[in-house]
Amino acid sequence: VIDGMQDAFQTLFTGNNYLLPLLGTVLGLIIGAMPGLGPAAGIALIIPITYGWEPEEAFLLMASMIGGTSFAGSITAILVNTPGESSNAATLLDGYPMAKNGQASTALSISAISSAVGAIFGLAVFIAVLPVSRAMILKISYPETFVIGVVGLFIIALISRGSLVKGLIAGGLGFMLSFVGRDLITGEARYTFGSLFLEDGIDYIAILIGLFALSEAIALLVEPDVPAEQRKLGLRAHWRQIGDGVRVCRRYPRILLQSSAIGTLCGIIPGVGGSVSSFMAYAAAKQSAKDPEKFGTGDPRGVLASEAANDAKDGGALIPTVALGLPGSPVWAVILGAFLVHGIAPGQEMLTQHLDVVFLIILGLLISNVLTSVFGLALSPMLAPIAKMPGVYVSPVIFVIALLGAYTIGLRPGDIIIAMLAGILGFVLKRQGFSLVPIVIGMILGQIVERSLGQTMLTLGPTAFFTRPISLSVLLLGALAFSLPLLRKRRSKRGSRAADRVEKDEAAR
Amino acid sequence: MIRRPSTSATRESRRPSVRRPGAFGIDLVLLAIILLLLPQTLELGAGARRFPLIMLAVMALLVLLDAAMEAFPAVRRRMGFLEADFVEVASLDVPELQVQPDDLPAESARTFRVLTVWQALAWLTALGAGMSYFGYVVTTPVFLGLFFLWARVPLRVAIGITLVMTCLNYFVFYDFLGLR
Repeated sequence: VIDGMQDAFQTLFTGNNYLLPLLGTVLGLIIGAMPGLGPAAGIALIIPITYGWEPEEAFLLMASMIGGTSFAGSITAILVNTPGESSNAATLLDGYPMAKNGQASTALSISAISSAVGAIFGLAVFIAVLPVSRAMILKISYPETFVIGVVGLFIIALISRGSLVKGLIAGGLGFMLSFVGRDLITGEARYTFGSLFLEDGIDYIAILIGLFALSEAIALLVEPDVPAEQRKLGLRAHWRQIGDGVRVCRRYPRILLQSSAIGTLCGIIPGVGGSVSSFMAYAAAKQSAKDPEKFGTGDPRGVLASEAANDAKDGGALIPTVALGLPGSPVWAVILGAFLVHGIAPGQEMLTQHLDVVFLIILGLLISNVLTSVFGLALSPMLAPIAKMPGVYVSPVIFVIALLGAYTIGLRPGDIIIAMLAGILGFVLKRQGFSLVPIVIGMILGQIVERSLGQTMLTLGPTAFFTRPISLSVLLLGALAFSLPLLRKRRSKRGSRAADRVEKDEAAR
Repeated sequence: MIRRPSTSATRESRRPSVRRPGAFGIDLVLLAIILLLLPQTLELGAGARRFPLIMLAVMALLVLLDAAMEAFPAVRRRMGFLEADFVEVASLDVPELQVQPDDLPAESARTFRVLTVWQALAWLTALGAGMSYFGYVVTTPVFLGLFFLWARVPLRVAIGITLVMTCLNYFVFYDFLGLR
């Protein structure tokens, strides 16, 4: 391990290699800020350029891009309610309301600091568990993945604002959308209505862009509600807000660590990935708060939790990617492809012969996360005014960027139509009290959950969900998450009845 | 004296009994979609239909429950614990971050058009259709120009945004990244 670290540092300071993290971070920031063009798409675009490079240099650049895109995605989530990638979707729940309340710089500085802390935490865990990672990963199989997926979606519906039933319906809608296309196991076409385009399935990025970016852009046009007195803030006010952000991070170290731990754990589970980690961290922060009703209205703890988890997941996702060749998230799937392009096989070979590449990835992630935090803090005064522009200026631009983002997924005009329809659907559903978050999570988890269910039934049988310790523990945790708020409500209802009785007695006297 | 806690449960019990036709309408549409998908699902092979069938059944139950809650306020009151934010307890006063506006002049009152929902949806549909049929390079400047003129956006802003977006589309996406 120490030899690997030494080699990695040597490569970093050879020639102009030390500039690669800076280049990767800037590229990541640009790519991440474009809705739909997340790190996976960005790295996919970069791979052909790095064909002739040394693998060490190529992966240093790619890892730095991941750090940049993670933070840049939160900039658009906070400022224009458009997550740069799906894992930033939880950030907009509180980040965007904060920006609308005139606290954009505070939200951006919280995002910058928590991203750096989360990333460092995740990578520290990765270095610590590197020797035992293989044994740990093998404990998680299909039943665990299925149970984690279902319980995860259920918890998302629980924490959604508004009706629980509507939250669950939204989650179910997400599952149903994930069924469109060819079945992963049998290959049968489902709900395609004879369309060749739909046989490839609906890309969740197109749905995500529509539900969050376009629906909000429509709302901005029809409900322009930015208070005039908050339109302009001077530089001093921005720096005051950045200071507020730093204080928020210092005030909630428990949320920071808890979310980083959740992010790292979710990253470790192959296929679950970033979106789930940030929503789970958000849910945990909300569940454990004494005033959870403030979440979703512009609570800085929401941004803190989701961004820490979002960046911590990369450290966790590295474990299955390099140890087993199982990518923890879409971006790591692309990196896995890049490993193969550069002739590196993940697994035992990677952990013995190419450990320097692993440490260069760690270095790239670390440096880019520190750089993005510095950039984030420095640039937020320039970026924050975007959130305060009138809807009639911003919305048409969001329309264009969002639909273009949908087109970049696979260069298919059909994705533009899907995103447009999702935007209209999202606008209508939100107006009628439905939460949009469970739809996206349902879509992301749908295929994972269905595949895990099928494989469990074929290989282990239905009892496996209840006999394996990890899946049983997750099921019990889900039951606890449902019953605790119910018990709390019941207790408070009893309290209010008692108070009513006391008031009546006093009035009678 | 016992202090009355401020909870969702108490608020729920005092919520006025209002029907929400929009939400009920969505439930009906969802039910229609479920009924449309059911025969298609039953035609699938055993492996491919297992999970969709479970989901359709669960969805139908949830949608029926929601429709009942929307149509009959009495049911909604009775099921109040499912209605409001599920995870919610009494509020504690935590000092919130304050917005600190400075002395810079506020932007002048709006002179541009506020769109109705149908107008906004029509503009989005026009852009989506234009982008998928004529391509984004052609559609973007036409859409932005027409929209800004129609919405009475100041000419300088309109020209600036349209130019920046057109250049970004052409030079970065079309030419440099080769998104065609």
